[in-house]
Amino acid sequence: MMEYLLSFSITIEIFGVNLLLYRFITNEKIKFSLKSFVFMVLTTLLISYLTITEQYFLKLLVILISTSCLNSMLFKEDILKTFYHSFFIWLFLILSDIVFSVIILANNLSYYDISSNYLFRFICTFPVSLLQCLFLFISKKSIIKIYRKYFFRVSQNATFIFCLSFFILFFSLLAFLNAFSSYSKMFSILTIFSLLIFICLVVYIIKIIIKSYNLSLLNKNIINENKLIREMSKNDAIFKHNLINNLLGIEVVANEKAKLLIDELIIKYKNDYEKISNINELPSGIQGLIYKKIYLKNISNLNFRVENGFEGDIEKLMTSKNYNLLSETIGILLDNALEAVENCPNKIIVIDMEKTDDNIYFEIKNSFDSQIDFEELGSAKYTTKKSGHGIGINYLLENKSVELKSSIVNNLFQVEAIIKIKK
Amino acid sequence: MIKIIVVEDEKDYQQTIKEAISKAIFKCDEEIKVEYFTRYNSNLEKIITDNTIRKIYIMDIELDNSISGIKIAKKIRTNDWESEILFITSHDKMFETVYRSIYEVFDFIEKYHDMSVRLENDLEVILKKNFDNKMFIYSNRYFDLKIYYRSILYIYREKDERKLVIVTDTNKFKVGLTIIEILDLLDGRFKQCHRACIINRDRVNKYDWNNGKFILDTKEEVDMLSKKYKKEVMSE
Repeated sequence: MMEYLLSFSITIEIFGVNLLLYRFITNEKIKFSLKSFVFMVLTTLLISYLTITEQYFLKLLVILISTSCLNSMLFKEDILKTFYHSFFIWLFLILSDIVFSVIILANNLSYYDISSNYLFRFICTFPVSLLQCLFLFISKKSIIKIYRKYFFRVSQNATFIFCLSFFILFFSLLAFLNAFSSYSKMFSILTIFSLLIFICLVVYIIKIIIKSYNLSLLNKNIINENKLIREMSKNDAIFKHNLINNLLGIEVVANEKAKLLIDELIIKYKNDYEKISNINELPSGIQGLIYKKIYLKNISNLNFRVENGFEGDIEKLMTSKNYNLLSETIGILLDNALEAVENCPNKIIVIDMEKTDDNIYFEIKNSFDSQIDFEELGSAKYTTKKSGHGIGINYLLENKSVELKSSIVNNLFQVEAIIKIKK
Repeated sequence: MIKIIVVEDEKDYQQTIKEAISKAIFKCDEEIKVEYFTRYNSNLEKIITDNTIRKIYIMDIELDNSISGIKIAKKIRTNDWESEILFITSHDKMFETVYRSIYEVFDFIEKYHDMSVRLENDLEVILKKNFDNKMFIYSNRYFDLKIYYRSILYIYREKDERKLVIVTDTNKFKVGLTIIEILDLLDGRFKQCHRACIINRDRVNKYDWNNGKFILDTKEEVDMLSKKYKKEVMSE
């Protein structure tokens, strides 16, 4: 019974440190529920049982799975995402446990070996957990910085395979140690798991190659489409410029009624001509995309302006992946802006682009005239669109490859996307 | 203290602006300091980032050897929506319409048409209205919301979702705050006038206590006025 209580308390401490670290890394709030509490109690009992029956290898496996499930329940996140973060937390807990145990037990005394006095053993579990917590609080900013820089933004699919491979390596190593007494048993286990690791890595490499090839094909299509639409917009601009001049010529000999009609047409075509001129100030890699969106939507009296901070071919400044991402981002943001201004009395869209050594900044500001549920804004299900689709902005907000800064200032919707330039 | 910052690269226009400023501030009691720049530089950047002083910017849009007045306005509005901005321009009306909304520009003054008179009038109006540019600021996980206090008409609690709806001149925003929480984020012009409503007293034209409604300066009538809150609403 005492042994059980001791193992129970150690496991609760492990869960506590796990939750603390998960909260640091993801900055998400914990949402307790009865289901999560019951799950925690049951898994703690299971882990305690495995400790007492000295099935340490299985215990470590159960800790990993149970912390992933618990984090998913408490932080209300996708199980794959929590597995990814929980895996690294689990590794940290094992390593720090070993390190701090060695520090505390400098006299070669293992608190696992002091079996006679349960109270002493119980007290001895706290220093390790305390040291873990102290280490976390002191180095919180460094941990978060390093973790977010190297681990947070990597593609989920690729890192899941990476985690799985690493886990299998760890699993096979422990199995190897466990089966050390018998060479043939050890050798066969090692071979099986090495094969598994090799298969996972090959699958991962093939996936990356296929993805790169598809991306380069997609980018080639986007670039060709942009070139074509840019040519179309130039021809359109020349046509409208000539048309305005012709209409001005006709106006001279027209009667009063005709003059009024001609004036209306000139204003309309001048507005369109200015829109195209503004689009031509943008970098060549996105002109076509923006022109196509505006042309297809065909909103009358749209005040569209561009402030462009750099020249050149944007597609040459970025990797294929980031160029595709930029096109996607611009497409989604511009669609949202055009939809929002459609019923506005004052239809304004302003695009602002800047470039630094590291990043491209794409900002879009638009007016809007609707009721906004600010608490739901940015969530997957929320939309102000008539069509009912609201996934666009949420997809960008959840996508870790593009940094978004969004705000509403009076009656202006502002979104700035920051995307990296290749070095 | 109020600071007037003039960014103009042409000496002739700088002189005209100087004269207009002198006439406008003559009638003002408050201490006013004027600084002149011909381009964007580190000193101007320091002034822009200093949020302790109230400022009025008078800028030419086209500046030689410098970023444009519009870009300077963008830098100003990154963190400062309280300062007033006046542009001296020769651009077309569409340009004016767009940037007036984007950067909350007080006025665009044409260079070749009564510039000094118009500038003087605008400065007098700004100095009289005493910088009413404070903002209601609130954030969710992804977005920041900033609304001028003067644009908010009233705020009421929705029955179905129990969220507060902020009604402005052009839009409505639902936020997940209580009446008490939102009053903490507002200033003294906002008073609770009903169990489920807060008004901006500066935007109310008439209180009809007998019929339980108030009439805004936009002519909208709202029937959320309770006699229980009369003392608070009518207090100074």
